Amino acid sequence: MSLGIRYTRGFLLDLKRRLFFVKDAHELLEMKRDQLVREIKDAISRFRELRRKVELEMESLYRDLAVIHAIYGSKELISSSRTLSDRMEVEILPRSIMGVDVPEVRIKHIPDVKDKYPPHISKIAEKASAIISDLLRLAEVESLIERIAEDLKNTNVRVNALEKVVIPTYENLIKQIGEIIDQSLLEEFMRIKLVKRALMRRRGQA
Amino acid sequence: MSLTYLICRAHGYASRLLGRELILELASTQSLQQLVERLAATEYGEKLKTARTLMEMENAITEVLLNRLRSLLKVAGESRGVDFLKSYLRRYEVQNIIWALRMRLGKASKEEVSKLLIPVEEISDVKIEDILEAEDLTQALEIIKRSKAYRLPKTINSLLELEAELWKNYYSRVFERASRVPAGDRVEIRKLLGLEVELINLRTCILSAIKRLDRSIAERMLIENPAGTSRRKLRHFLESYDEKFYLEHFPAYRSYLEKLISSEEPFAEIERLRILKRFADKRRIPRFISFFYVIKYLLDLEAEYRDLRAILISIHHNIPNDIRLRLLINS
Repeated sequence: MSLGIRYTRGFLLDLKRRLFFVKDAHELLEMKRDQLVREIKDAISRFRELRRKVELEMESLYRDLAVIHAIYGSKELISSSRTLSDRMEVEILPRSIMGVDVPEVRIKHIPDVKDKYPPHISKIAEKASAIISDLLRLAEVESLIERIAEDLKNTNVRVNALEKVVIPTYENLIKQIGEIIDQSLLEEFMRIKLVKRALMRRRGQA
Repeated sequence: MSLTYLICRAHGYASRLLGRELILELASTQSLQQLVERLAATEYGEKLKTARTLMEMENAITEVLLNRLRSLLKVAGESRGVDFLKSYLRRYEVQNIIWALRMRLGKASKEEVSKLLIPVEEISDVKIEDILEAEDLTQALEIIKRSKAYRLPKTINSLLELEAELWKNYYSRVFERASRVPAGDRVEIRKLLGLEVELINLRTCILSAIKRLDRSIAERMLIENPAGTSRRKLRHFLESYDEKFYLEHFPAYRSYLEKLISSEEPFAEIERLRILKRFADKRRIPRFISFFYVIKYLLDLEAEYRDLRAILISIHHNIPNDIRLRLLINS
């Protein structure tokens, strides 16, 4: 950390001002870190709940799909899966949590699958269609956790750097400069005193 | 060649079918490799040898099925039953048309669709290549109407309705051709076809009763059944009764209906095929030379094909053994 150290009173005041600012920043970053931890904890509990639900739904869907596949064959399944020409539409918007950009998924349109598939496929199509929105929610929360975790890591590094390196360095420097200035003041005082005594002695002789 | 020769050959061909024990043994194999090895000594061995993916394996067993059907048609030559046989086998053409339309209307390329189709040109009245040109439902309808192979109503609003119309046409033609089968065998064949249509119609009724199918669509999906409950009667049932009514009135198909009511439609499909197979197996025809045996052979072929396909896919998905057995017709 290069600060261009000068052992002057002006520089000392400047350093103290900087230290005050750094401490403020440290406090803010700590607050941000705490908030991010709260957000990530919330998101993780939501993620666990949603993931458990999606896993159960997917397991059941996959089981049904495997049975349908075995009974009707690949060709029936492939051709049925192409029946729906309507496509799902989603919009991904950025949302800010404590300055961290996280994606928010907005489902604009889910194709209606009712009566669009042959009856033996429609049940599984409806099931899959219902899972899609949960899957998107899960992806959204997962991405939120990833981004917040990344930012939390950076914030933590900053907080630690301020706490363990920057602030102690500034404090040491302030102490060091203060001592040097005090010492030079004392020297100056002694010097003035000696000069004054010499002058008085000279006047007395005269 | 005579009809008698065809029936005798059908008896011969039937002896080459895989036995129930072998099917059950195959169902318990743990890997596709083991399955291929176990089938090496059969007709399937040669075709499966080069197959690497699941789709290639499915295509291999389809090829064996088609080769067997072609052999039967070749033997039928110009005999009296050939017309009926061709009409009966046109179910694969209907299936092809349905697959092609679903894919094309879902914007699949012609190449993608071609890979999916079963090559059954010998029995087809519609050129499938023409259908591949269709970009939407209206064009598809025009092409099918132009072929004159199927009589379609003026307005068809969805693919589901078109599928229903194709099947109606198919069964009406099969029933009509069944009347050309020798008189002594006609009754049994009509009973079998009647049973098949009855089960399909009951499925439509139940789906409507449990609100999984719109009633107006269900009404249009009902197939006329000259050897079973008429469409008019079923329409009345549709309007007036709930699913319990069908259980009381059709106790012979209780297991099938119960599966439909509990929304286990795939298992109901297996039950449907089991009922048909049981019906054919239990017929005690006093004569060895009966055309019914040719149809029974076709039914057995279909059952073997579906069982092998189900086993292949079950192994691929690692479906537990107890469920695998529920997927088999020959279980």
